[in-house]
Amino acid sequence: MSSIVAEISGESRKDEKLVTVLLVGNPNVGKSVIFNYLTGIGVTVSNYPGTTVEITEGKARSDGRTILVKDLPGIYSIIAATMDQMVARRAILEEKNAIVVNIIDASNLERNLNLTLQILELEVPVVIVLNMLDEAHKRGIDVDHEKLSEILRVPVIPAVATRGKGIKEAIEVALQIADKKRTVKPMKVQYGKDVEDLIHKLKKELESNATKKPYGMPYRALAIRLLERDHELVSILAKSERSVIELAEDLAKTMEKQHAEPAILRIAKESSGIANSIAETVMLRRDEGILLKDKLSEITTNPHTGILIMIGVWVGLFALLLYGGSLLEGVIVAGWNAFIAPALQQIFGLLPSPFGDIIGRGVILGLEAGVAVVIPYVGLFYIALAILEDTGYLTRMAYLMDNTMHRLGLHGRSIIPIIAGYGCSVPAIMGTRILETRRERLIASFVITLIPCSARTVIILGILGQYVGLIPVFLIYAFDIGIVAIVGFVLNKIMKGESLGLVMEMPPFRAPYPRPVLKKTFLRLREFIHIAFPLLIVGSLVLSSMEFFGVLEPAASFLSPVTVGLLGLPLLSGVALLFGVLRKEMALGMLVVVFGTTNFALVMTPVQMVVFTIVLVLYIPCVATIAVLGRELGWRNALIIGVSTIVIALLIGGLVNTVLLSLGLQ
Amino acid sequence: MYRLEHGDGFVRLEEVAKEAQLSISQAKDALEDLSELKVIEFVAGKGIKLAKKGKIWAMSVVRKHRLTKDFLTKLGVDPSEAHPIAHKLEHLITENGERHLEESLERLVPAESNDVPKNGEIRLSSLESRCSVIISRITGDNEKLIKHLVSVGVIPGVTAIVKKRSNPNSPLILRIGGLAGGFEVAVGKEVASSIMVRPTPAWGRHRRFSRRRHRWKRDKT
Repeated sequence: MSSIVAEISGESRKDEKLVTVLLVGNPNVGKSVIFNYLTGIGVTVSNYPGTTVEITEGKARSDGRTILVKDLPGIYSIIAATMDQMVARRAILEEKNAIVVNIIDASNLERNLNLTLQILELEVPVVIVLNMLDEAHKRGIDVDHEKLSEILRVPVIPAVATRGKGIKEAIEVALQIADKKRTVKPMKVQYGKDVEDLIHKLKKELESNATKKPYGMPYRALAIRLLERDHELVSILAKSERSVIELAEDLAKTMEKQHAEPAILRIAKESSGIANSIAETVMLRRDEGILLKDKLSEITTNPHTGILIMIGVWVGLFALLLYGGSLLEGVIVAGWNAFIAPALQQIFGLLPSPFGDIIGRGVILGLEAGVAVVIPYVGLFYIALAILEDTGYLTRMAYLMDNTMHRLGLHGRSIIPIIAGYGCSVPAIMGTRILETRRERLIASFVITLIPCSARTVIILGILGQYVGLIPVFLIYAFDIGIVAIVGFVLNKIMKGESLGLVMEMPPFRAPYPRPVLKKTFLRLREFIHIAFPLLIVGSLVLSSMEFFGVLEPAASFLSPVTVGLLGLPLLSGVALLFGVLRKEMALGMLVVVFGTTNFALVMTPVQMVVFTIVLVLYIPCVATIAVLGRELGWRNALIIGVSTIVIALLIGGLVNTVLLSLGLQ
Repeated sequence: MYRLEHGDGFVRLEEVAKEAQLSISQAKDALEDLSELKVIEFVAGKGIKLAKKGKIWAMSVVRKHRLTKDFLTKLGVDPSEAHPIAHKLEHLITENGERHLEESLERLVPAESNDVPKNGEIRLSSLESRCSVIISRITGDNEKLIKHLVSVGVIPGVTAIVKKRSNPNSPLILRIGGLAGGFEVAVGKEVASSIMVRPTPAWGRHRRFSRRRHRWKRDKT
């Protein structure tokens, strides 16, 4: 390895007191554990300007100083293959006063070092946190952190983040660098001679042209990335620096001729070779045998045991939602009616009649519905989801489902947003951003609108669970999965294009830590409340004023050919369906209002209840979902999805009605 | 037989006899010899299956067939004539001859597509049981896919343990970087078909894992 050293000090980076720390590292290296350890609850999540990538930000204190901590998305590389990588790269380069804290997993050193080497090439001040030393030790690996520091020539702090070890030290070292008390001269990554020659040639050209550095990326790093034909950088330079881009293309072709493989693979191969040799130098292996978590991994991905376990997890999840959710809901609604509702009523009573009545009723009902749905159902679901995610089980599920999802034109990874759809469709649809192609996103989003979200779960429970029984409830869920499968299958047939295929890391199993789980749940709930609550209140207001002006019944008779004729439902239930568009679970409240009773058994037959529930679950997604569909996939697609779901709901509702009646059920 | 394999990997005796133009008893004798060499396995009720060794043999023969046929057609021989000739030559060509053939073929036609396994290479998607390989190439020109693979650490030159899968359509799990201290990546079948690998000396020797699992299972029961 060469001894050419790029000298970097905190000098150019430190003009003000507020020091920024960027947490950078692969996914699943304990980044969020460290972030949670450092920061309190005052955390903001923001989209990086112009992108959909989220960056979590919080403040930490050390020695009475405030430090801004930014948690960048977990990445394996900065070759800009994904939006996450592009954003992380830009953030590292553009945050002028920032110290990069690169967290690496000691039990998986080689792959983690690949990213570290790329970061060193960016010539920014770096502190390395060598995390998960305990786990590595259990796996029979010990890492000599001093030697690693010697080779890389940056501070390496040994750490076990889950026990809080090493985090404080890392921040102290970061502050020393920021205060110029310590200078860092990172190692220069040296490739093979032929590749190095090409890099050098391109770097010379960049220097002599005095090319403007995109995001301030140093020339050497820029030369390497240009040889890889980095799309983002090429397009930035394409206009002003034609000659550089042409030279880069020529040199890349030269490299490809010499090695008979794409330039990007050649460079990756060399840097992974360097990472490998560093890892082997600093690692001490003992033979420790196989850990329980590896066995667990085999069992959960085995086609026989794995599928059994997956079904078990599903049933457990639903049982938790159904029983735990309704239990919690009862408690919350009782508390609300006893304390908060009367207080709110008094406040709105101050407004002149009849507006006070209309507004008061609308706001109170809207808030109540929100609180009764959000905390018990959405909250519980998100806790369970965060646990499944943090343990690493969700990726096993994705693996097992890959085959099935292929029939729907998706691959295994898409199961993750689809599962999130059982919580709320809105964040689930936003979650389809992890899929690579637009076609996959469209199919997945369409499918998500047909998945019963927690608002719909409330209806299924409130009608079927109360008056027909729990078995029909489970049957409805199973039936819905069947419909989802058919719709997905059809979409896959009629839409053109192919998916990129599955490439997914399977992180080792880990015990979930309560703080990250709770924080994730909190952030998701907050997002849900932001989107859903305003719509809940507006919807309720519209409803209560329409009730006041007596326009409900004419609307119901207008729908009667469909509701009574096709679906065999009572006339007034049409009103409920109409309002379900605004808010799905409002349909339940509307039934109470239009029938004037909470005992639906008096006014509907079990068959009517089943048909009503099915239609409600499937037909047009709520306003918030349509809005997010429009924003994410375009209004045309949102319209197509909306109309198709109405057609599907009516067809299936009519069919179920006919079949159940002809079976002699009532 | 390799060509006759059904989706489940089994072939019936009658089919082999018909393809080889032998009587059933002749075919049976021949297959029994092969079974002693552990090239194939008989499974009662299902048929005959190529063992791992047989599969490598078969793939090499199919490769030689393809090379010979390509070579002859490039020289101007009609494809319908080249096919039967290739059928005979596929068994005669040595490893060395194969390499020469490959090189001259490359000289005749500059490689338009890199999607043909080179000497000793196996397509990752064709592996089923547990074995140890080195990733040698990523084929095709899907730049997005190449970037994606590189960034998760599926890079030519790394050693990977391919885990057993029971269904030929399910994704493969690769353990990269050794049994301790490595990481696992799942790759779908289509992705795996554009990854070329070479067996390592430890090919097939990575039984340790599964044996331990069985022992563990026994302990529990």
